[in-house]
Amino acid sequence: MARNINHDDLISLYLLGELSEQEQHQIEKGYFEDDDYFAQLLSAEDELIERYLRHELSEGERSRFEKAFLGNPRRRRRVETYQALISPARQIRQPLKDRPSYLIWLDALRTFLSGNGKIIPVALALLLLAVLAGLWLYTKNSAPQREVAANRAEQHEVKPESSPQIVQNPPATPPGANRPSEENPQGTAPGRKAQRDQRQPRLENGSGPGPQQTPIVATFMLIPGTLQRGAELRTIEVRPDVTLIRLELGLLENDFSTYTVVLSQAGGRQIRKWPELKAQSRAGGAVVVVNLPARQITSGVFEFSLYGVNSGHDAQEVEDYQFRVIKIPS
Amino acid sequence: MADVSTNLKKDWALTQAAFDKLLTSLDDDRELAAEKYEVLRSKLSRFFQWRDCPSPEDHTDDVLNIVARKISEGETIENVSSYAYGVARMLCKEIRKKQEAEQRAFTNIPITVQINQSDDEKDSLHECLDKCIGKLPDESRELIIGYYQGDKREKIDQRQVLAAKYNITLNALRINACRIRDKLEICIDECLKTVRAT
Repeated sequence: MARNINHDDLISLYLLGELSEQEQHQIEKGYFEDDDYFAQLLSAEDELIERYLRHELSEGERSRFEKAFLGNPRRRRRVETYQALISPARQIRQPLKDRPSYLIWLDALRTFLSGNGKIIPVALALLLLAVLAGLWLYTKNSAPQREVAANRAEQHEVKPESSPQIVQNPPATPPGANRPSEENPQGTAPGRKAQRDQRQPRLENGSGPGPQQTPIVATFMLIPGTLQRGAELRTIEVRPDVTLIRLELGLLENDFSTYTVVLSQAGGRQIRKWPELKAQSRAGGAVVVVNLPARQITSGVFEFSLYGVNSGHDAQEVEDYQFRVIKIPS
Repeated sequence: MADVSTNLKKDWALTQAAFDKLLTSLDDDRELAAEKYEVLRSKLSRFFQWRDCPSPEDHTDDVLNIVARKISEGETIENVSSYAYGVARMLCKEIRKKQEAEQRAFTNIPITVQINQSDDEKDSLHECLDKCIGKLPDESRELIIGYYQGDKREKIDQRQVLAAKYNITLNALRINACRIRDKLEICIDECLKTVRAT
């Protein structure tokens, strides 16, 4: 191999089909003889695909990648499958046994509706349970109480036994903006929530949330997109020990009896929907609150779409809230 | 191995006995032999993909058939993996020649391809991925989901945890994930064909 380039670059060139026959032969001989070397190539291929999907390749690299990978049906399928596997929507689809109960219910319902006969008795039993639970809720709770119950259910899903610690995170700040010092709580900016110390006492064992640990709730306020035009994308940072993210979507006007909130990957696939939410009053306005288990979201750019619903009318889109999530590794 | 086409005897079919001999030549331990066979398959499939050959899985089968036949006919092969690579390389050259001949018959129009799937296509892909993941054995399913879980640092950590859990090296985990993903990709292809047909 006469070229004066490092081996990682050589591997990239090989994967892009840009080496001479002799150079290709050297690499191929290597990976057919050595499993570890083969693994290194697999890893390099994954990295190349991921960099492409994250738009991290230079213009030249991107065009070479597209020529090499997307022109070949098998490699194209690899890129598409990879994209699907790493998408936030995929990240929340866990194996059935680990999935939250509401997702299992949705699956059961979906299968039932698609006409799979085996699931019908189970689905009917679940439906009966749902009706009974609904009747119980109806007689037991007023509308606002129901909403509180729904929020609690979300928290319950994360950690059933104990009451959550609340971490009042500051409103989302754009990257690079001066973050308020934690020793100097703000509270003066319009719409900014009173902020408590984000550094809640660490869990005793110092590890991530486990079955015996107290759930930690991080609260963020998001400003409607119409007020945000031209500004940098809002960023929220989620610590590794946070189990529940509470997002308060600020309203310009509270004109609807209920709201539906849809969370999507920016410009892409729907991740989750919260129907029939009531606005809650805050000093100087109103907010719609959604609770999202932290494990259901990864780092990335997301969007909430807020729809207002009045009785007897179709839902109408009211606002959108774009934001970036950065999950801080433990 | 001068002419792979002549080695590709179309009337010769892989028999259980020939396959067993191929496995034995990879390792005396049946379980280890099966693992080595799977790794060799992955290497061959990737080789044909990285060399931009049109049907990597079919070419992989062709190579393994040739190797199995040679062994069943009594040829002594010291290193099956290197031998298979030699066959694959020759086959690739022949495929290239055919491709070049075919291309000369057409005007070569460069095509810009991008991943611009419609929402329906994305939904179908996700649906098929769900179905195919559902068909995997529990351990493979857990591995492939875990392998792609998280973002950058989180992903690296997660893979180390998985490797420790299965008591294998990180490289062995990568190869396992590659094998599972190959199966997923083939399953997704089949599934999408069915979806499009309905």
